[in-house]
Amino acid sequence: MISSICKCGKIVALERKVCPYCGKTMNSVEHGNVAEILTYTKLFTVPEGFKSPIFLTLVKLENGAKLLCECKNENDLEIDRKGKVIFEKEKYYFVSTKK
Amino acid sequence: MAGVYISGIGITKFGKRKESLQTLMYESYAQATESQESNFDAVFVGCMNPDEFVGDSNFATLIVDHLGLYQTPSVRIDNAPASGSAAFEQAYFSIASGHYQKVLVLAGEKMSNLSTGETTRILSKLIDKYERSTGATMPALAALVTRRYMHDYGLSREELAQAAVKNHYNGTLNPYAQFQKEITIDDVLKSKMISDPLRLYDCASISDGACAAILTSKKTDVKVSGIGHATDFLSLQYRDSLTSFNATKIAAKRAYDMAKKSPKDIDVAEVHDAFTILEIVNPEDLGFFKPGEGAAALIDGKTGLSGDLPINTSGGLKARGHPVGATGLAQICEIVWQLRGEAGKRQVPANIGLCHNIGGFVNNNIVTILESC
Ligand SMILES: [Zn+2]
Repeated sequence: MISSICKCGKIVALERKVCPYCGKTMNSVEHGNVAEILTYTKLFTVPEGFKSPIFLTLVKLENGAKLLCECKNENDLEIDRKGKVIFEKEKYYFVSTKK
Repeated sequence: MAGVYISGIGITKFGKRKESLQTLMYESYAQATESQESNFDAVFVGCMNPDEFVGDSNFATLIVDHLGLYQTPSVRIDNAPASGSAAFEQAYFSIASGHYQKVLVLAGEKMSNLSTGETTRILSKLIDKYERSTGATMPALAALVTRRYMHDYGLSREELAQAAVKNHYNGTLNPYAQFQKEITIDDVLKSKMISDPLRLYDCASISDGACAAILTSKKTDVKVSGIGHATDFLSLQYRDSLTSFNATKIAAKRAYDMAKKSPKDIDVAEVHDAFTILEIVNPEDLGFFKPGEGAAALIDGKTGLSGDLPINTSGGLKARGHPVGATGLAQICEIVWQLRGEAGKRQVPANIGLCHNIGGFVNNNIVTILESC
């Protein structure tokens, strides 16, 4: 997993050159993929080119940054559910570690 | 700084309209200029996306040509669904600076030419590119906020539905509203699921419509006393809170400071209820209620027509309809009617009113305070 970190103390998920909080240059950092669900939705009316439904979740990564991604399994959609983020076919997915 | 006042206002009926966007704007303009001289120092046109929705660009020129305002300076303001209030804001500055004395603001959108799929695609472009790549739509982002708010504050699905029920009731009293029919909580809960937990009746409709307002340095009975504007991160991922919006809080503080008012001075408000959850969160962010108390205020009738602080007397985006570029100016028209005592069956006692218009997914917000004088 890659996040971007700024001297101002802010960390955002994925690669980003300019800090959205203060405008300074950010540096990339690699870190683990542990994550936890902050919120979620099952999206039925999807944009053209997508297959319905999409299980969307906003997760908190282990470094505190947030990431919007798909959830692999509908049954994992629960606030505070712990798991990890995996990268597959150009997309990030949340997978629960709890069975 | 010169004082800025509102004279004429005009609005078309919102909904699916067969007329062109310029014809709708002309209709609102004719209403606003009734029995007045129609020459202006400038024209400010709020419209989000005429290029894609109706296939016209250079729309500011098109409209002065269509209205017969030959040689008048004209500019189009695109500020996403806050284009109407942004055009009003720029018009305000043009008079406050002393450069102009009398200007026309027009705002409108015509969305019904396209299919729902195409419209959804255009509206999804308001979202950050990475977030959009996940398939996220505007209702999906609102659903993420709703789910978290329900978790943090114990908001029930039925309480949320009450926002749509209240605004549809108000819409029955507004002859310009797209929907003039009461609905029940059951109607909301049985409507099509869009993005769980939000259903069709939780979302503002696709609509056509236009509004007009004349701003002047000459004193009238309605003064523009405060305008506040603030942005937030494009991406939801960067926001600190999922149940409150900084762009509203900061824009509101700037408007209150400029008008030398506080939330308790406001008698009536139009807030941007593009989704039912926003009818609950916006009044909290505007300082009317504490965090987590927006739903109780709604259920207790505080924000109803006979409550202490009526909200969305027009029916809001939900029932009046949401032609994106028109909405901000439609809110201003409603507050002007309320302050003038011209709101008919939905009239409430009011001397000071507030409008809250959102651009993007709650990240480019404008708060305007109007006052009787
Ligand atoms: Zn920074």
